[in-house]
Amino acid sequence: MLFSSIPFLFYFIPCVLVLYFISPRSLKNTVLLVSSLIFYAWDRPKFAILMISAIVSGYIFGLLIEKFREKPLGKVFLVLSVGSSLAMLGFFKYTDFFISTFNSVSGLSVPLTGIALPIGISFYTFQILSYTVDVYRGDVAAQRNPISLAAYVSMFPQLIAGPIVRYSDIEKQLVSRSHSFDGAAQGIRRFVVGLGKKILIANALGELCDTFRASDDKSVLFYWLYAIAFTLHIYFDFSGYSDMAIGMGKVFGFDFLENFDYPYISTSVTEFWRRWHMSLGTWFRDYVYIPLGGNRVSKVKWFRNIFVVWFLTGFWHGAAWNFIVWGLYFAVLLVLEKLWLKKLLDKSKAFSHIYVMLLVIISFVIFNATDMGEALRYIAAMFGFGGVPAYSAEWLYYLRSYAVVLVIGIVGATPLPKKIFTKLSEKNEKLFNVIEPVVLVGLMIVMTAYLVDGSFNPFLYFRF
Amino acid sequence: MNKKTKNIVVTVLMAVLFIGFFLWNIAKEQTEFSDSERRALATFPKVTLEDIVSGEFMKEFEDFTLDQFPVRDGFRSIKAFFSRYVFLNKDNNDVIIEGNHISKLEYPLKEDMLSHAAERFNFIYDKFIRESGAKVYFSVVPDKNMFIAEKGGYLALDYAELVSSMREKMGFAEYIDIIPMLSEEDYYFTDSHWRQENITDVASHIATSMGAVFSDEFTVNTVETPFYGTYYGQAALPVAPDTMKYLTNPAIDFCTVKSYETGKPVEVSVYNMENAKGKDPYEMFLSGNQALLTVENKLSSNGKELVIFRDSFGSSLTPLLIQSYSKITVVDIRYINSAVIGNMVDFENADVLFIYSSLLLNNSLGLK
Repeated sequence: MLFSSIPFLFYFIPCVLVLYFISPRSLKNTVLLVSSLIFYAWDRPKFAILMISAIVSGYIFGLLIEKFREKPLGKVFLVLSVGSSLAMLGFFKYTDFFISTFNSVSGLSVPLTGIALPIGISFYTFQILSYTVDVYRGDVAAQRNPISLAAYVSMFPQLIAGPIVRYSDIEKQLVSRSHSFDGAAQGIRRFVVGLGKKILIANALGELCDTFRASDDKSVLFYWLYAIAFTLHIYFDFSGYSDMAIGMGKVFGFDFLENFDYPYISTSVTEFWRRWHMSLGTWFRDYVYIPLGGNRVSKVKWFRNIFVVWFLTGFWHGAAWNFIVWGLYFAVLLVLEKLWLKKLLDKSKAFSHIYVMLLVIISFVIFNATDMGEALRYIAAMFGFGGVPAYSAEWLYYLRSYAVVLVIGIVGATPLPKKIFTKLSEKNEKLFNVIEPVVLVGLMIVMTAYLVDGSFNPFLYFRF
Repeated sequence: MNKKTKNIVVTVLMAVLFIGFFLWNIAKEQTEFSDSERRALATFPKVTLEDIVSGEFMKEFEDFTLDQFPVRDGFRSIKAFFSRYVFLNKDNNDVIIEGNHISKLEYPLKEDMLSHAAERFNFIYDKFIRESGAKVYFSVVPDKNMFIAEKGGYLALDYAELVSSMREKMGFAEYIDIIPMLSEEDYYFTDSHWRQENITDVASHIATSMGAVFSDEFTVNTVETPFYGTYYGQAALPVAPDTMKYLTNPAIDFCTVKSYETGKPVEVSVYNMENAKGKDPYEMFLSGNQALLTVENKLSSNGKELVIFRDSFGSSLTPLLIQSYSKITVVDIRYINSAVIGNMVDFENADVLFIYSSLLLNNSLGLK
């Protein structure tokens, strides 16, 4: 079920909220768990069984690891836990990728399995992994209440699109959390902003990208329009979802960590990755990069660690070569920055912004390509290769048609609107206290209108 | 209002909004048909274990929630308003508004569609007309985007290329160019079709090009019911309705129209006034889309016959041409298979006119 859908907003959420807030404290996690399972089973009921088995395995391994932590058996259980989680992820997400790669290399034609990718598997697998590893490290105690652990793993606000919430971050809130009008209002505000990012900006730009792909009237400028639109689309889509997750978490009394911090204002790729999908970046840092030695090793090993992490980051995003190339592309840039580029970038802020955005835009062309052939064709066309004309009628039409959304997207990707809002609301607090509820309700009505009007509402991060 | 009160107001307002619409959704009676979109709406799906396991139920449920949402048309209008006036989108769901005209984007030119249409026309010509001695003519009715698109900077077909391509593919027919006689005023504001009262010059040009005699003396009649065309509902914005007019002359007043929809001839009206008050008032002309019709002019003894292959644009044109012929046979191969036309239509020494709109030629898969 999508957050940005009528069934979620006007059927699921009202029922869950009523049930949750009329339930006694002791049953709140149960209500969250049951509603999360319904939420997850909504699209593919079969996959709920898979998630439940992953939770059961995580629960049992957590207890066993804690019990034998000081003994060799503890490590065995950890390896078994990590192995089984990765095996499940590998089987459901990567089997056909490995088969098709094998077929390409060997010239054989082993039939593909056609296994469907369970929604959110990459997110909940990583949450279970972090839980068992943290138990092994002694950072957290194993959760003895299976409902609390299941509620953590399956919690619908963050289940299908993150942020990847660490067990350690909400361990205490799972047992005891407070609910207030202040928290609920904060959460509602964040949710509405996220929904707006998704429906009013990301979906519109997604339409533009689809139109470009279907067009027979492509031109150099149309390729650039597509690349910029997709770069904005993926940011507003994903950060919008994260905002909605964080907002809903607040309503239910949880504090999830931030996942985006205006990545497009970065002045280096290194900074970009500190601001983009932060929960994934810190996950790989804590569970892969640092265990491999991080940067406290020889230069060769340091760069190896970077390449391993970015290979995995790319592969986590999708079982296709373009995702791997996308990850390694960033590894190369990060290494180059650490070796030479950083000093150069520090000299000019304007140049460093252009440098980051240009490389990020190209990276997302690779990211969104159906295969590497298409990625290379698109990038070549952006620079005038491939015999496409400089501009076309469709480019001009769609540029005019989406100009406002593009401008809102570009400005909205910077902290400027938030700064202006904060300044104005500080100066006119009383007025803003009256305006805010009206604006939030108005926005919800407009977004409902957009949902009712159209069925175009795919969500990109489902495939991860 | 202080911050604390504001937070209570925000929470309560949102709770009322979500729970209120939930209850309204539950309580609301299902609507089966959308007049504004002219389509059946999704209703609550059947609940079967098989559909739940496969996820089919959930998909159908989502369609149901979208189609049955309370004040759905109102919400569609809000969206259309924001799309047009806030986000300044050139089109909303491909619907464009230029001046008083509502239209729909039709782009790009689909050569494969033109080929399909031409292939069907060539099939009819080769199988039934070639040996009959009939004279064959061909004409293209441009859609109104030809006249309004450039003004508003909208994408539009390359009409010259369309005509040139069709002429090349229909070498057997003499082309009658009616495009110079048309302008945006000749089309309804809220509908794709042309106004019958404005196309007498077109009818005259076609008739005389085929060697027939034509008089442009008509009486103009007005339908009292306002005409909300097919684009009106799609636009979802308040736009003034059209006024529908229709022309009569003695030949039209005394002609007999027979439909062969069921195989047996059934007499129908040239102008069906019931349809004029219905959901699609343009269907008043020749009683709407019919596979096969004959129009007999009781006042004519010239013995001339015309066979028209047409789409809906031909419905309002045909009555104007009846004065020039004793009999017109009107064929719509969207509703009848081309292969069986020979059993029903006599082409011997008749004039044959293929007249199709650019909208249909560019989306011709429905031609059988």
